[in-house]
Amino acid sequence: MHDLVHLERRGIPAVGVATAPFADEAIEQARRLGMPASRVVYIPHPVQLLTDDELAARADASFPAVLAALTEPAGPPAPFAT
Amino acid sequence: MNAAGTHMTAPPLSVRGLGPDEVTIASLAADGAALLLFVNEDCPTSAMALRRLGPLCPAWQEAGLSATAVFEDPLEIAVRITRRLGWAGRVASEDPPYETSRAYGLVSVPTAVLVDNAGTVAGTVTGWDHAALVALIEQAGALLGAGLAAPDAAEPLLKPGCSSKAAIDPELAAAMDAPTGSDGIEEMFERGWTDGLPVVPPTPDRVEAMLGGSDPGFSLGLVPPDMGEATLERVAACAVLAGCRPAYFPVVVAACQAALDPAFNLHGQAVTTQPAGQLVVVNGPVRDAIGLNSGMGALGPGWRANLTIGRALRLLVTLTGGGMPGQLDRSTQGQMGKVGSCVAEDEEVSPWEPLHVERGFQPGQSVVTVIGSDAPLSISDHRSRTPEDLAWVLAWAAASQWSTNWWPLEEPSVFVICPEHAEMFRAAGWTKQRLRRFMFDAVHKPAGELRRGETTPFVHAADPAAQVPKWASPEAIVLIVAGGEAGRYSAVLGPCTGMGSQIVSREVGSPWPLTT
Amino acid sequence: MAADYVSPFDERVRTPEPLAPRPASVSGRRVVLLDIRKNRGAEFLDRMETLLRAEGAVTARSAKEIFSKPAALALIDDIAGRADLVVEALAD
Repeated sequence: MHDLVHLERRGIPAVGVATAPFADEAIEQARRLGMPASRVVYIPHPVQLLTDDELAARADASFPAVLAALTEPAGPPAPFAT
Repeated sequence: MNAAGTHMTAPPLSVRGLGPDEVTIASLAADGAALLLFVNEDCPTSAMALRRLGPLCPAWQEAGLSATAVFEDPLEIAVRITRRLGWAGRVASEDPPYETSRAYGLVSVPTAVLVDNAGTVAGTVTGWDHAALVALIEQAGALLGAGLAAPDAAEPLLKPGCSSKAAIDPELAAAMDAPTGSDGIEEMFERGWTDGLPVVPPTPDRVEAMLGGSDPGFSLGLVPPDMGEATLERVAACAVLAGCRPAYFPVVVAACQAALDPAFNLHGQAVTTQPAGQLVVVNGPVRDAIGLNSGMGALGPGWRANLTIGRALRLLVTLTGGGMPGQLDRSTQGQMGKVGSCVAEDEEVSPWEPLHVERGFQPGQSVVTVIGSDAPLSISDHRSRTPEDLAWVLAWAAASQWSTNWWPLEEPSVFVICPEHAEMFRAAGWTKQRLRRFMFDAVHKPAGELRRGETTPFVHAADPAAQVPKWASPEAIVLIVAGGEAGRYSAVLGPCTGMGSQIVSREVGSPWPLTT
Repeated sequence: MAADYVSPFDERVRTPEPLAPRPASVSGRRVVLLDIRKNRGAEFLDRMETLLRAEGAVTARSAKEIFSKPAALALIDDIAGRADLVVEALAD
């Protein structure tokens, strides 16, 4: 979250991708850093055991949310979940 | 660490397995015996052990020996590694601080532990020791009354293991795992808990010390513009951040109370485009008790109490109140007084009654007065020979503050009179009131000269020849004495205007300690 | 992390810091894909990169030194100098 916040402060839209169990921690971190609107896209957990094809499918499924995080105007903070 | 030696009861497991069922010694040893193989992902010898023993596990299981690889790593990593290495036994994972490894007395991995079905440790092997492992497996076979396959004798027959994560110094381990917050100073910047300068991280211990036994939940009210609640705990956090000592806290609290008085209109000051800061003037015995400076350099750096008390109030506004420069604080240029601005009056050198006495307090009371103001303007006068000349110079220096022509102003100008200048008035027997009246009268201009651009209604309506004062009344001229004893430089802090801000004073709550 | 510090903020009311303004689309934008160096991150970003290119983005890769700490400010500076947008992955 530090990296995302640094980049946003520098004027660079950023999005993180994380597995779903990260959500609580990410939201808390973002709040502590003063930027609760930081954008993270969550994908289902786990990923370690996926085949490459399955991992690519996860990436495909999350892509619309990633694009939205990079292009939707800043509004109320909401984590994007796929 | 107590080693789980042979013939001791196998310590309970605190590990995560793949299925929903709890992983216990009893369940693992239920079919006859259990082999625990402690490993971690950083250890090549562990990898070798998993690879060499892994294929043997299914046959062992058939014979009643369960084999469990207990990883000092997250479960996902354990699963990935065991798949890659062909470990066909069970998989379990420990979280930091690796209590199970500690309980088993591990110093290194891999460590193989054989447990019989009474839950007793029957034997252990540390590292890769082919001969010892063969013996351990034979022992397991004896427990089960079966022959168990052993790994082939391949080089290396002996290979030492690596450190168990349990054996690493816990502080070091925590530091290795910790995110960036191990550097508190940078963490404060990351979180936006600063005014641009480093702050002291407000640990619970520091905040508790700052509170000094006062009720952390006691509220001083809401701090504009965000209306964050100023509990004493938050005020103490600001005081810690600012670098205050606990001895300063009662003064900080009094300053915050004064600033939060609605009459002060902190809200307007916090969001204005004006360069408005909050000047904190301290009077009474507390000045000496906590080392506040009223002498040389009183308006500048050098004294912790001055700097940090002023800063603590500003951090309350900026952080708790959200009045962050560049965001809700729209001050066009700002000024350094918005870092903090606190001065003690030099009551001893002053020929006059101090500010707090003027405002109705007893001399022996310790009082904080807050005034919305802009940056100090220096007034140099080395030449005046009479009090009239000096008073004229002081007054006219302030004539352009806020505006050269938006006259008169209701809001106060605060003159900080240096000791040498004060001496001239003392020698001539001028009271504060006389000086104030003289200054008020000295600064007048004809209305016609003030009609540049937009003018005040007063000027607009006045006859062009009518004399318009700078100040609406002499009471707008505030006089305090401070500064070094040598040098003829006084200063004036101009007003924060147009928001009806009143000067507010507050007694410093007791108890405050008499020593620093 | 270690301590939690006593916050000077009243989180119920704290004004959040704003995000950087967004472009209308990623087409023609330079996107840096920042790998945090956890497992599967590189493969995930490979796929992301393909998808972003299909949308007309110009892509480049970068990687952190170690996943468990935020990127060094020098790395952020470097990325900031050559990115219009950043995708950071994969936190697992």
